[in-house]
Amino acid sequence: VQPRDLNDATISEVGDRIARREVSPREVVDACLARIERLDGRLNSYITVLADRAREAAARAGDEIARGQYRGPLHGIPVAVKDLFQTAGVRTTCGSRIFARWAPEQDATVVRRLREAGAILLGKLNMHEFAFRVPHPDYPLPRNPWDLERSTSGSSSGSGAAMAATLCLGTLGSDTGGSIRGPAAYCGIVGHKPTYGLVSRAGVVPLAWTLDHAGPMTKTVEDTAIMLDAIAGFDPADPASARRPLTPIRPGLARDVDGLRVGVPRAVLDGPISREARAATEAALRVLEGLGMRLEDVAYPSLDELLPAQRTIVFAEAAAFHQAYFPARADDYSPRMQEQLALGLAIPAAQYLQAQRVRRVVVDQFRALLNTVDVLVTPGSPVEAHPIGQTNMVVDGVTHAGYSPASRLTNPFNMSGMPAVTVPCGFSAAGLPLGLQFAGRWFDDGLVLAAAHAYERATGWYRRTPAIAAL
Amino acid sequence: MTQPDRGAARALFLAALNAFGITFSADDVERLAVEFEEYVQDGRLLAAASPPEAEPLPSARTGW
Repeated sequence: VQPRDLNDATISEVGDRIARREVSPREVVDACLARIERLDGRLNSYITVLADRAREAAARAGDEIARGQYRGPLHGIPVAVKDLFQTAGVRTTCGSRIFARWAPEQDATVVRRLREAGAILLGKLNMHEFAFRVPHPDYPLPRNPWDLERSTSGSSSGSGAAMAATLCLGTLGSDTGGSIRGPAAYCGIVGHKPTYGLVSRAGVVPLAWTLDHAGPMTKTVEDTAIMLDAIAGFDPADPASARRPLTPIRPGLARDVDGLRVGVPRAVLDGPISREARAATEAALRVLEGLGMRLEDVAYPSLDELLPAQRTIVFAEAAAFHQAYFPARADDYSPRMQEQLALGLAIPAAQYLQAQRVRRVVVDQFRALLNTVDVLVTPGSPVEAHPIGQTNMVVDGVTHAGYSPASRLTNPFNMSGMPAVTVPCGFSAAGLPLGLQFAGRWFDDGLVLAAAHAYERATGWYRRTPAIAAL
Repeated sequence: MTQPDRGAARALFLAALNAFGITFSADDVERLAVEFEEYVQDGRLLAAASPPEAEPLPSARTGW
């Protein structure tokens, strides 16, 4: 396997070849490591590369497969995880100086499950400091493979860059306000935030317990399903983990989507969305109609309360987690992170509880909405990837405070806990990816992914790869 | 936000900095106090948006 053979490789394709013993896990791992060697000096997607361990694990996987002990579609597949997933004996920095030399004793549950499925851990991926809005200056900034002067979005920034450039075949990210789906949209990949409670966060360093989700970021929806099937399921070590029977998702991806009721929240589309992102979304809706799905305009929960509630919960919970280190080690945090933690500590308890009351209202509103439609569709991002260094989002020449136009699209499903996936849906005039988001009922991740899979297969946007990745 | 409300938000933020022993430059404190006013405004909005029957949803709720 040559590094260029992986230019547009997917887990499903490479997994099939490994299963047929046409290629060995060691060859695939070596090819990925060669790609990292060639490209990551420019992309900065990895914080730690586990070359030797990965080669050893790949050799063991190859031996197992040769003995007929094939574990499934992830066996021998090189993956990487955002550097807030704990890895036994391997430093887990959280993109911070605080944890720069911390090597946990145990794997996060999802990392252990990936290993049990036979996946090879290739390394730990760059991220915003503790997944909270800004990178720490100790770590080089990840760059978007589609344009090195553009942002990857965050906070799973390295996951987005590594996946788009095929510096591994699958990644895990975490999503508290859009940190899986934002980088997926900006980098032209698939990012899935599972239903709250479906995927364990045990061993995942928290940003905000109420809103944190762990999930796959991959090239295709099928690859996301493969990873989700490996990591989903009850875990007593995560108090939010749901004890319910699981239905494997991958086998159901090809289900008939004819007649599926698709809710289109016009209030969202009429908000701050660029002309290009809106046009791509409208074109995608026509594709969904062509697949037999029935579009319905739907009213949407008010974002006027949802977004402040989300902000209150994130700031207050992050401040609570970091009290062990802040302000005692204030200087080890980036300047903006210090400010965010100080603001969070000042939020009154009553306000935090009001936010949790609003969350209940939001959940009830979405539950009513999902009695009338099967899935919801929105743009995945309001704009193409913005230039690095731009701290306020600009939509068709209008500057907005912070990244609020993006929060409007992604935050609702952190607050509600519903499953939501973002898939590529075209390109801007500048050649940058645009994303489309599907969301649906709690624990019906399979239906959400089936709708996204049908769209993906009908359009084929996932086949395009950035020029830098074409070795 | 009214002037007294602004004053109350600023006082709350300064009290928190003092209580937790957090130090910023004088300019940063002023800038952050203005930012914190928005958060206090969020709190008023959230209080008004919660119907009496809405109990807080615990973060660890499972099963939906």
